[in-house]
Amino acid sequence: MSESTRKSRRQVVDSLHQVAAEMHNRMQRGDPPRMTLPVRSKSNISFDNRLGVFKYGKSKTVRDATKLGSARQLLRTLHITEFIEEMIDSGKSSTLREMYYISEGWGNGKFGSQNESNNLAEDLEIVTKCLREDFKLRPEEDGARIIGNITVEERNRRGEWMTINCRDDVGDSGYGVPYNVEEEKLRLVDEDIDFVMAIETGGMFDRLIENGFDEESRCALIHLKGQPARSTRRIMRRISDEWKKPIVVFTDCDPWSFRIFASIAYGAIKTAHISEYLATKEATYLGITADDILAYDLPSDDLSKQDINALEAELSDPRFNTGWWQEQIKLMQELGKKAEQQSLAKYGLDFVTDTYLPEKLDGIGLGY
Amino acid sequence: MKAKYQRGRKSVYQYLRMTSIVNPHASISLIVYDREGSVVEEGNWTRTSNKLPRVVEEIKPHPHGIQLGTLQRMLREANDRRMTSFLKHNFSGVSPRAAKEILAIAEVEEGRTPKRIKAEEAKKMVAAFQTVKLLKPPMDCLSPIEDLLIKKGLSKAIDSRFASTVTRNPSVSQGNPFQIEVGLVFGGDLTSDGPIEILRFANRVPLMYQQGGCLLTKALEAVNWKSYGLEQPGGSGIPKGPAAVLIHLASTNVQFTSEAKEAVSHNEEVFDEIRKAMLEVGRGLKNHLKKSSQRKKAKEKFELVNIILPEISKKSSELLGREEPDLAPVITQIMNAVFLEEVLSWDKERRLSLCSITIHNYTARARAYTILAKWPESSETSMEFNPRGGRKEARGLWAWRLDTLDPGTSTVLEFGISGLTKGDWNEADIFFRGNGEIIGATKMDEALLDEQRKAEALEAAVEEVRRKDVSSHTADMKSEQSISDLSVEASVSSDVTELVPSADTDWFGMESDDQ
Repeated sequence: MSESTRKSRRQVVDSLHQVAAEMHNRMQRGDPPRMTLPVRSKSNISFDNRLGVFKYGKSKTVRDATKLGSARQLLRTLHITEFIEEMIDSGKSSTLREMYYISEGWGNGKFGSQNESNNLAEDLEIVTKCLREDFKLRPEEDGARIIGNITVEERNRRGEWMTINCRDDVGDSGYGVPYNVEEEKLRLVDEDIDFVMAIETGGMFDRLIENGFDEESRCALIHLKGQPARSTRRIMRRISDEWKKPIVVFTDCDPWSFRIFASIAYGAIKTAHISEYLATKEATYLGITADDILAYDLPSDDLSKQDINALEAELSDPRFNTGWWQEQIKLMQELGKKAEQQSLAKYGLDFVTDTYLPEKLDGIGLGY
Repeated sequence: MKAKYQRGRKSVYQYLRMTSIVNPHASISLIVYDREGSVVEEGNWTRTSNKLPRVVEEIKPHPHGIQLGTLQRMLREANDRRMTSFLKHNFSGVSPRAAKEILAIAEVEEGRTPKRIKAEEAKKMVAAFQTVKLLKPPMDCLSPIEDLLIKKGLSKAIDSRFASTVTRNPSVSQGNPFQIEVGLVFGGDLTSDGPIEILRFANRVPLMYQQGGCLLTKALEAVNWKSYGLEQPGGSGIPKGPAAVLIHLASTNVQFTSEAKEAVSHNEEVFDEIRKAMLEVGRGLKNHLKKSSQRKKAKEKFELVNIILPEISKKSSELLGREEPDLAPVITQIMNAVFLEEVLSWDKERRLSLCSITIHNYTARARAYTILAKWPESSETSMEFNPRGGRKEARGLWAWRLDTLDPGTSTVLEFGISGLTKGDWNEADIFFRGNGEIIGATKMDEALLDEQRKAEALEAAVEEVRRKDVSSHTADMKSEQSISDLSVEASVSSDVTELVPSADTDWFGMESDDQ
């Protein structure tokens, strides 16, 4: 999103005030205060043809002060609003975790858990159509690591732009993606790669680097660190948009990894309100697929009860409603097995870079 | 004699603990030293009541429970000259008329000397005992602990939140009077993950072994506890949950499964009585659980409108720089109900158990109700403090008619009971008459109340006749006739009262959850 789509401070405060006004207006009419939100579950996301990603549908849920729990939520929302206003006025920002601790002083408006404060911040984003960056709220978790021959400019603490080549100017841990990867903080300057490979586990990321895979196959490697943070998804989206480079995703073969891919390519359920900024519809799932378990005779583990439930849920998840995914999920249910990326080591440490990845990349037309 | 001192659940400690429960008037302490003189086990149960158990009356055997051998022995040892006086003086429940009838059926002449009766004739008499209509044996031979004292006894050994107790009316099985008492405690320190603790007693003696083979346990297992709020995996057996159940069988003849006297053997009538007592305490528990959840709900609503809502109003007004809205109509909309809260307390100075009932009308309409409260009415208690007057509706049930309660207003109803000690009364049941629900009170079930009134009237009538009979004493055929007529009537209607539990337990306004 460019600077122009971002809201001014005044606009942010105004949208927040609208939330408070909905409550106040209702109380003036003698009704319990409330807040209207889209339903945030898989039943209320649908494919947006124009944007090419999954967005929230029309189902709304009302959070009103007829139950103690919801009433507390409303009060907390007002406290957050006040807190954000103060930060905007004083030019400060805080992490979500800091806000959670600050809420200790909010009396009856204090949060029960960090999760609750995160969710409420997201609720506010959705209702006000602002981003949490607008609210001066930062996530705790850091973004991804990148290694590969791309060059970026990042504005540092002193406000100066510094140029970083993600292969030559970084150590073994790579370039750390900051939490804010918007234009005002990060510019994509130059590249000499053919594609980007996003990797689920740190072990595999390090394996590929040790084997020199990035240079050999002319790609940039991104370590997702499990379910990717917003900034990780956002930077992939920008690389795809600005450099038109293919993004391939390499994960374990288990139901949770499928969800990682879905959040990258189609949009996450929790952040469906900003899918058009975060999701990269051009991303491709490289592996490990359920087919691979059979084709490469990989060592596998039995699916746990949670795995089986997760697979069942994915069958009815609109994001997986394609022939290919349905086939993969059903095959996995049939096998009753899952496999880790590292299981490829069965055939030696180089097998993944010498045989597996070249064969898989060849299959999607990215052979080298 | 040498013996090993066994510690723990199945030994001395548990025996004394159980003994202390059924003897609330006793203080028991246990200190066990080992050879070196250090304490290895310790228990201390102090008295919770100053009331001694009633001294029991000795009674003569009742013909319904007599076996041939016993009869023969009694005949041999008898000093009576005539059979009629033998029957009258050595048995309970035998009137002169009944004695004549028995002898006629057994074909034994009235003037025979008991000592001379032959085995053949005695056999016929035993058979005749079963066919002739006899009076029930007197019941003052039994020593029940009585509900309030069960509560106190349980509180001595178990720290719980709630206790429901029942003392059933005495009953007879094969000529033997017996009486069932049951106490159930719930919550507090009791653990919730295992089966409930069962405390079995026969004539105040703890039964510690053979739990599974005992009639008392089997009757407990036969109850569907799920519908009373306890878990019962598989729908039968010993329920699970933070509860303990006390079962006391008082009888002139407790039948055990073996000489060891560890478990009570099967008996249909006793089984039935225990089951009914269980259902009564079960209903008490169910009521309690329902109340607790209602109370929790009400508490949340109060917090919502009294604390959270005003803060929402204040904060949103501050943020927007607007005036604070009037919250009264909002509160009415959120609550939209009449709430009732009762608080029980102990007035140390006046030695009164106080009950304070607050009723809030959070609806948009004016409401008029009659509030009814259950109180532990007995010969020792009285409604000492009662500024609102009202009237007695039935035994242990008082009613007050409230003035119209306008929207958004509340009123307080208070009364105090004398004759109790601190902690005796810790759960009140409140009922109401009128339109619309009250959260925190139960709608009065008028049909059940009617039943109770009838049962009470009948009881009073029976009592009246008995008293007359005692005073005139002479074996007047007429009054005897009227007693037996009445007792027939009473036993018919007692079928009804068995469906409708006796007056001193929780049952008003219950849904029909009896199986």
